[in-house]
Order: sequence, then C-alpha cells, then structure tokens
Amino acid sequence: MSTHAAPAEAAERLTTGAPRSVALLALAGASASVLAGWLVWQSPLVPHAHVLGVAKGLLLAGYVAVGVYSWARRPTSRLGPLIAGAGFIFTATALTAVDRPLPYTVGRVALAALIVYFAFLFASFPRGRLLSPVERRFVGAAAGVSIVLWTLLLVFAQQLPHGGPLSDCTADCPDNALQLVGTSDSVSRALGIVTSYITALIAVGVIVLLARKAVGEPLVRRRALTPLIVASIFFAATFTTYSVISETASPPTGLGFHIALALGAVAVPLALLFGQVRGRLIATSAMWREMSQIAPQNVTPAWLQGFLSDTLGDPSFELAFWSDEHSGFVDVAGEPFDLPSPTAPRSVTLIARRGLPSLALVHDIALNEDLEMVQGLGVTAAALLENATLVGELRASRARIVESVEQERHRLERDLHDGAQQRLTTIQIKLAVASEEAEQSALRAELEELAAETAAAASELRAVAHGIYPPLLHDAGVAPALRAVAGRAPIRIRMVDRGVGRAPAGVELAVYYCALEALQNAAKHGGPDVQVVVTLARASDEVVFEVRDDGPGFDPGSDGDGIGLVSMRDRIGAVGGRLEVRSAPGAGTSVRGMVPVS
Amino acid sequence: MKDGHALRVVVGEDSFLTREAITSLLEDTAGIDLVAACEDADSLRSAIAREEPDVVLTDIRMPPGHRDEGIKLANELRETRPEVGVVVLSQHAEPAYAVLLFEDGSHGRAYLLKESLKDRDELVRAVVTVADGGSVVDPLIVEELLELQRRRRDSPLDRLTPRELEILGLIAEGRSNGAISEKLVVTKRAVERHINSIFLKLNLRESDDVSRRVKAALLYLSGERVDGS
Repeated sequence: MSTHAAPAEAAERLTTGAPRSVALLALAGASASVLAGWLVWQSPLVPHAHVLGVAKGLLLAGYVAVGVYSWARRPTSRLGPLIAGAGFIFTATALTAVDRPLPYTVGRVALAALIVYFAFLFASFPRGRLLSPVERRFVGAAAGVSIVLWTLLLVFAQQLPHGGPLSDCTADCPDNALQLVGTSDSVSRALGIVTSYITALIAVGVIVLLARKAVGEPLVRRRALTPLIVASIFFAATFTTYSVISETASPPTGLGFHIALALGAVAVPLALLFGQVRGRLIATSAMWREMSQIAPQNVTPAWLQGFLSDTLGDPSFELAFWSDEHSGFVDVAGEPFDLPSPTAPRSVTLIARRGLPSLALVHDIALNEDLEMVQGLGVTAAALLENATLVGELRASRARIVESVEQERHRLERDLHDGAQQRLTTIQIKLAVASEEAEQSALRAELEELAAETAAAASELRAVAHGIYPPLLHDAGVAPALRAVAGRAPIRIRMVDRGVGRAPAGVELAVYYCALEALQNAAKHGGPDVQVVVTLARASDEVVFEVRDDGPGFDPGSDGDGIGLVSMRDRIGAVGGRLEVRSAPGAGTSVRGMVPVS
Repeated sequence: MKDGHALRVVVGEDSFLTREAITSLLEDTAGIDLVAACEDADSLRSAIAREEPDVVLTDIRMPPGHRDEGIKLANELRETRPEVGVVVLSQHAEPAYAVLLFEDGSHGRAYLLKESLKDRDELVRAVVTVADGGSVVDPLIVEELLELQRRRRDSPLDRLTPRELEILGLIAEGRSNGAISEKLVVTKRAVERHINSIFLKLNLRESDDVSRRVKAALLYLSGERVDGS
C-alpha cells in the first residue's frame, strides 16, 4: 500500500543511526575546542589569556556538544551538524590570537565567515534548511556583500577592521598579510567602518527573520524558536553595539559590557538546545495535565483530535482511527479516511497497539522534527481512547443488564395488574352482588367471609406488585414515588424537591431504589426517632439526590455496611452516575448521588 | 339525580371482567343511566363527546399507554368540560395518585379503589358527589394514611381528640360539613367548631371550599405540609 510509504520513512527517521559518525564528530569537536583554547591561552596579544583561553574552549565545546546531541537525536536532520559546524568555524577564529600576519588574517576571514554562517544557522533553525525565498535571499545577500567587502579589504587595507568582541586580538593586531595594493590609513578606516555597519545590518536582519518566522510558524515551532530569538536579540545587540563603538571610537573596556558579551555568546548554544527540548516539554506537560483531568466518557475521537491539534500547535492536524469493519482508517466522524500521499506536504505517524494498527496522526511536515513527541502523544492518545472504549463498553453492558431487569419487573407488575389483580377485583364485586342477593343468612355470611378473604388476597397482591415496580415511579417520577414512600415510612422523612422533574426510566429507577436503600438503612440503624431529609434536584445535565439522616452514622473505613453500599453504587454506576457516602460515628450519614442525563 | 333526570354515566375500563362487573353494578341502580362502556382512552374520549355524560367513571391505566391515562383525561376534562364529574378507579392504594388527580383542584373529582366497587353504595355516592361538584377519596386510603400517621412518634395528630381525628378522616374523604354532621349525628355547628380546632392544631390554612380542603387534608396526611410554614 502506497499510503504506508510515509510512515515507513517516518519510522526510519527515528532509528538512532550512525553512532560512529556521531562519536567521530564529538571527538573532532573536543580536539578543536582544546586547540582553540590553547591558541588563546599562549597568545601574547590577549590580555588575561589563560582565563579567556579556557572560556573560548568551553564556548566552542558547548556548540559542538549541542550539535552532537541534536545529531544523535535526529540523524536525518541537518541541524546537528550545522550547529557543530559553527563550533569548528569558531575554532578557526582562534587564529586571531596568533601574533603573525598570515594566521591572523585567516582568523579574521574565518570570523567574517562565522557571522554569515550564524545568519544561515539562525535563519534555518530549527529545520536546518532555508525554506522561504526571503530567508534564502537574505543569507545570499549577506554572503555576497561579505565576500565583496572582504575581497576589497584583503586587497587594499593594511589594517583589517577590528573583529568585534569575537576577535581574540583587541589591540595592536598584526597587519593584513594578503595586502596587494598599498593605501593610506584612511582607506583601512573607511572600509572598517563600512564592515562594522554591514555586520550590524546582518545582525538586525537575523533578528527580524527569526521574529517573522516565529509569528508565522505553528505553535510547536514557535515554542522552539522563542528561546533562540531571545538569546540572539541579546547576543546581536551587544555584539553590534560593541562592533560599532570599537570601529568608530575605541573598544569599550567596561567590565559589565564584557560580562554581557560572554553571556550572549553562551546563551546562543543553550537556546539552540533548550528550543529543541522545550516544544516537547510543553506538549507532554499539557498532555499530562489534560489526561489527569479528563473523565473516560469525555474522551471522544473529536475531543482527541482537537486536543492533539492544540497541543502540537498544528491547526491542520487530523486523527484517523483504524476500523476493522472498513479495513482501513476512518475520520472522527467515522467516514472512510484516505491517508495523504507521500508527496503531500503532510506527514503520517502510525500508532500501533499490540501489533495492530490503531491510530494515524496526519500532521504538518514541520512536526517531523519532533517525531518522538508526536509518537508519544499518539501512543498516549491511543491508550486513552482504548480505556474510554472499555469503560464505555462496560458501562453499556451494565446498563443493558439493569435495563433488562427493570423491563422484566415492569412487565411482571403489569401482568399482575392486568391479570390477577383485575380478576380478584371482579370476584370481590361478584361476591358482593351475590351476598346482597342471597336470601339465606348462612349463605350470606359465607359469601361475606369469602369476600373478606378475597380482599385480603387483593391487598397482599397489590403490595407485591408495588414492590416489584412502584407504578407511581413509572407514572409520576422519582419525587412523587419517594414522597409516597416517605408517607408510609415509620420514621420522619422530609422531602425537598428542587424540581428534579422526569428523567429516563433507568435513571429514575436507579435513584429511587438507591434512595430507598438509604432510607431503609436510616430506619434500621437510626431507630424510630431518626430524622431523614431527602433532597432531589436537577442540575443542567444531572439528577442529584441526597438522603441525609441524623442517625448513629458509621466509620466508612470499616466494611460493616459493605453490601448495601455496593448495591447502591452498582445501581448508580450502571446508569453512569457516581455515589458519595459520608458518615462518621455519631455524625449521621449522607448518601449523595449524581446521575448524568443527556 | 341531577335536575330530576337520571345521571348519564360513561365507563372506561380495559379489563373485560371489571367492565362487566361495573356495568352490572350500575345497570341496576336507580337514578343512574349507563350510556356507554369503553375499553380504551380513545374510544372513551369519543363516547364523552358523543354522549355528553354527567359523570365519567374511568380506570387510571388504560390502553394505549397503560400509564395514568385516567388522570390525564380527568385533567383534560377540567378544561374542555368543567361540568363533567370524574370518578377515577384505581388498583393503587396510593394517595399520591389522588393528589395528582387533584392537582388543578378537586372539584367534581373522586378517587376510588377498585376493591371498593364491591360496595355499591360507595360507588353510587362517588358518582352522585362528583356530579354535584364534590370530591371523594376512597375511605380505605384515608384510613391507611391516618393509621400510618398515628404510628409515628411525635405525630402532630397526637394533639387531636379521637373525634377530631375522625372528622379529619371524613374531611380527607371529601365529605361536606352537612354529610359529616349527618354521619356523626351532631349539629353542623359542632362540626364547624371541630374543624376550626383541627385546622388550628395542625397549623393548616382553613378553607370553606370543601374540595380545596380535601386536598389540604390529603397532602397533610401524606406527610407533606401545605401550610407554608
């Protein structure tokens, strides 16, 4: 099936490949960091060379480490090698610490290249590719202008422009080793000023690009971008200010400024790392938060689709469900669903449960960068859905059992009413007529005795029929039926009906018998003096009832009253409701139930 | 008898046996003219439209719904034919049904248990009373209610004298002051004094309208106060 091509590709992305390349990259990065650190450490051009050497080494190691981490996690993404690459170019800039014209000149060119490289890296974050024409044009222009400017500089300038804060040499640096045409100082100065403004322009351009990207991206991308935007604005602002001041006046020497620059430089690799982790953190924490709140009966296909769409920040997100009936996927409405072709700008992540297809998550290709997150959410969603289905099936089966029992009781009651009870009534009437007409007093006495017997039988039968299914419940609802119970009970029962109205037969019966059980318990344990309040109410979509007594109460921890409570819970649970029993020795008992009615 | 002519009665009862029994009871009764006997709610409605009876005698449960068609019909007739009296026959010794029947007033309504049909006088009394605009509640129901109330501890009924209890029962049955004085062989003045005392002791609002006080007494005995306290 062609539709499976996309998931297969997606699954491949997840396999952690090329561990050897990753290890080699890590090793090369470590060596390069040590080399760069050492170059600065022993440099005569750098003040506090030892401290700055260690700092430089650590900074480069940071870039390489973040790059290695990204690559190991997503071997098919170019982002990891790109970030590590920044570390290697950074290493080359350490040549500016060498007090000889040629290495210094190479280091300065590397520094110029690093600025263009950063522009490319930031503009392509987090995909590792320049996707929009604006991004491509901007990076192209930055590279082009830098090449032209540096060709001019290398040919004409005796002194290369100040390298800004990233340069290790800050004063009395070597000359341009490649100068072909001798010129006056003013040419070097002019080109230097132009360079610093161009650099500032590139920095501002990168910030604008990042901000623009953050606005247009789906939420999950935005979450990844925010840390980098904050870090790069900070970094670019300090960098540009320093460069412009150095070139137009003299390098600033304030300690605060240096601390800010160091923080800015360190913040960038950290932001690159944090940005990748953050999207997943937010998505998973949202999932957990939601999962701990949602009731199983509320987990519907539509709810899951909406929830995942929100969590992933992908408005185009679609969820498809495997259907054995259709031998294929169906959408949230149960209609057959065709997975997008591999060429569509949408990706499919398949979720299997116990080796069987379960869910298909159809999402923006942008989310391929966070495939583990998508898969994790998908597996959790499938588990939630399965749980909801099981809970629903169990509830439906309990409800069916309860309903069939209730129907049977109702039928019995009606059979008695329409059959035996009617016959007895008729016999009573006929006996009465016969005894009126009987002329012999002995016969009349006999007939009257028979009539009395029949009346007793009728009354007993009525009580039986009533016990099987109280007709009043069927005809008038819970409130009148319980009121009738209250009227008959040997204890004082106050009825408070806050407009419970009518509800489906199953719900009324469950509430009635549950309240009856609670009333019987109150009478049994509370004796003749117990007072009971029965409250019935209707919330927007729930029938609420409460039976509260001032009897002796019990310790809910002990299981003395277990069976009565279990049968009450079963009745209420079978119609999807819940029961709260509160009691304490000496403090009475409150049985409170809530049953949803749709 | 109403204005000298026999009371025209229509019967609705789905059980053949009971219908026959009721028919035989009423056919032999002077002053009652049984004009139709129907087996379901719909044919009963058309018989009422056709025969324009003085009294309708109906079962509570009837086809097609087998629910409380009799009570529904009685409430319907209060709108469409207020002059028609209705006797509802029931298998349920359940005062709540009488309360349901009296929801919009107990004027011209009677609630009778089927087992009371054996007493022809009781049936005839109910038919004649509702034709007259009065109310009747089966004495068996009232008796049971009084019994239940008296069994309770701290029942407010303990405050009543035996004679007052007896009168409260008769009120709940729908008897007028005249009927009560006749039955107890006391003067109407004495009955009125007793009734005042009962209503005062039970903190019930008194009403001169007999049919309204039936409902009040019935509700009171069913364990529900209607005094607004």
